[in-house]
Amino acid sequence: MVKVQSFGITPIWMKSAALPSRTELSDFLASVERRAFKQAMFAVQNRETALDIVQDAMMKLAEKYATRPPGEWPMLFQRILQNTIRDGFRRAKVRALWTTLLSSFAKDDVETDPLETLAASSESMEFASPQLQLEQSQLLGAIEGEIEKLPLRQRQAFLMRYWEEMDIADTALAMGCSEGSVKTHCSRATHALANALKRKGISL
Amino acid sequence: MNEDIGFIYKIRQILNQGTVSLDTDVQARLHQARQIALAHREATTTNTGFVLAGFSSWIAHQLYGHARSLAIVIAISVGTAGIYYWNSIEQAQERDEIDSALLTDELPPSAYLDPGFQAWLDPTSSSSSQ
Repeated sequence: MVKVQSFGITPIWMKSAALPSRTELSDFLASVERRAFKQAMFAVQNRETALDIVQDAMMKLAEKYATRPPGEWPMLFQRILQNTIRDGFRRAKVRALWTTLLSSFAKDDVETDPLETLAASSESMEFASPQLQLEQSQLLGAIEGEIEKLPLRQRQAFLMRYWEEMDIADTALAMGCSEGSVKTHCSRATHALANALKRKGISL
Repeated sequence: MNEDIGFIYKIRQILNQGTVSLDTDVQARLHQARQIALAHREATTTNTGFVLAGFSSWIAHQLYGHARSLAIVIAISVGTAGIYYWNSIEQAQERDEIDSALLTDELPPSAYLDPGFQAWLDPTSSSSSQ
C-alpha cells in the first residue's frame, strides 16, 4: 500500500471551523469520476480493476481529506488516484502472473465475442448521424489508443495538465516531481501524440 | 505554441465525448462508488471527537512505542540482577560444601602440628572469622 503524504498540517481548531458540506464533496466526485475512470482504464486496461481503483481513490479522499478546503481536492484526488493506479497496476500484474500459471492447468471454455462489447459502447451518441457517430468513435478510439501508448509519467502529466486543467504547480505536487519535469513530460507527450496521429493520417 | 493550444483543446473535447458515452453499468458503478465514499465521509467527520480520539490515540501510540523499549530494559536489568543473586547463592553453597567436607574428613596427623589449623579451629581467634 502506498502511503499518501499529507501536505502541511491543518490545526485542529481550524478543522472544526468550516467543514465542506456533503454536497460539495458529492459534486466534486461527480465532476471527476468519469475522467478518473478513463485515466485508470488507460493505465490498467481492465474495467473491473479500473472501477476498483476509482472507488478506492474516492474512499481515501473522503476518509482523509474531506475536511480540507475544496480547492485542494483536485490535486489531492489526482495524487491519490495516481498512487492507487500504481498499486492496482502491481496487483493486476501479480494476478496476471497467477492466472497465466494456473491457466496452463485449466481449460478456458469461455470465448468472448468482441461484437458484444463493441455494440454497447456508442449508445449515447444516438442523436448524431451514423456517419458522424462512426467518425467520432473512430477518432476517439485512435486518440485513446495513442494516449494509452504514452509512457506512464508523460500520460499522467498530459492528462492532469490538459484534461483535468490543473496548473503546473498542482500537477508537480500531485506527481511528486519538479515543475520543470512536468513541463518536459507535457511537451514530450503533446509532440508524441501529434506525431502519432499525423502518422495515422488524422489532423485536428 | 498556438498550434499546440488548439491541438490540446481538440483532444480535450474528444476525450470529454468519451466520458459522455460510458456504459450505463460503469456509470452505475461510479455512482455507487461515490455513495460509498460519501458514507465514509459521514463516518469520519460527524463530530470533532474523532479528531481528539485520533490525537489521543497518537499519544497512546507514542507511549506504547516507548513502553516497549522500556519493558526490554527492565527485563534485561531484572535478568542481570537474578543471575547475580543466583551466582552468590551457588558460591555460598560451594563454600559450605568445602567447609563441611574439611570438617567431616579424617585429619592427617600432620594437621595437629600445624599452628594455622589450630588457629582456624579456635572460635576465639581472629583468623577463624575470616
